[in-house]
Amino acid sequence: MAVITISRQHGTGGRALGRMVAQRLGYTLADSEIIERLAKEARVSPRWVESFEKEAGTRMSRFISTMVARKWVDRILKDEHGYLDEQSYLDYLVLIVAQVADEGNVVILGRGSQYILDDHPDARHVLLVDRVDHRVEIVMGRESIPEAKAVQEVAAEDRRRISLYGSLGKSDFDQPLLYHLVLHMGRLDLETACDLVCRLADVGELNSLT
Amino acid sequence: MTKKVLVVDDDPDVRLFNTTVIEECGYSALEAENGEEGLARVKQEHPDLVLLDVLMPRQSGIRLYRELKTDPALAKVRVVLLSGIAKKTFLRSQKALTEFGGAAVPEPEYYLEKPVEPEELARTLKQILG
Repeated sequence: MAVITISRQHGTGGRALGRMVAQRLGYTLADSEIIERLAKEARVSPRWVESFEKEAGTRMSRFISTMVARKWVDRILKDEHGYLDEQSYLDYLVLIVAQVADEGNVVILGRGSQYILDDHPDARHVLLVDRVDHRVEIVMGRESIPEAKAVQEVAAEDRRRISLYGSLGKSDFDQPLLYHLVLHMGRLDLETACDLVCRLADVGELNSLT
Repeated sequence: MTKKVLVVDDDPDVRLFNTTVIEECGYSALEAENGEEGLARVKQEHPDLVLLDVLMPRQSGIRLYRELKTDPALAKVRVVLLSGIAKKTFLRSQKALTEFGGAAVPEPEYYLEKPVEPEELARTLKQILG
């Protein structure tokens, strides 16, 4: 009944690794599922949740959360029955991540799950890191974009990550002490990384820090 | 004076079920369909008890519970949380919200996992309100 959380720097292949691990272990990959559940509970569209996550922690989303009166949002979003701001997003997110983890046998990608499930007895937390130049190379290959654009994308995603965790009062998200396993993806192929994560899932009870 | 119980739930069937049990027990039932409306009714009506669903659109029960418990003027309002979510899952989520900079709130006094039998709900109401 293990729960694997995968936190990652942009361009380290987190989604591909998550998919491989889930497939090999017969686990669920909780990525779009979290978005769908959150959208259902908040009664907004999955698209809204996705775009909200892209903006999360930025000045724009704070502006929307604090300055734009709810009645104006309601007028604009006539076809939606719910509402999502930073606070309500977080309320739903923590509950859904905790719920998904309690169902067990799941790989959860990002979304602060390493913090939410910090002391979950069955959770194993994995962090993927790599050098910036290598991550840029990966993004160039994956998205068939020129180097300058990939550099921009990686930098923007790194800033977004800092901003997102900053809005949760966290800055230690790349500290190895939060994780059971830290993988330098520039030194490992996906297959080897998958082996290591699957072995971690198979380990019985782990020492808890709490 | 008849004691007042506020039911906050987005599901009209659940509200009907709860209000029926409440009235059968001899209390007066009030309703709200989301957390926002629930908070407004708590402030207006000063209910003796709130039956609160955890997951609802337009301000969840989690937010309303935290608002009630962190507002000195409302912290004494008694709350029964009703949810399809296991209590341990709810408690983990509360710990995470506190970890993410939210105020620490007390564990709920009463937490009933749905589906709740009418007898169990009636027993809980009587235990709290007498």
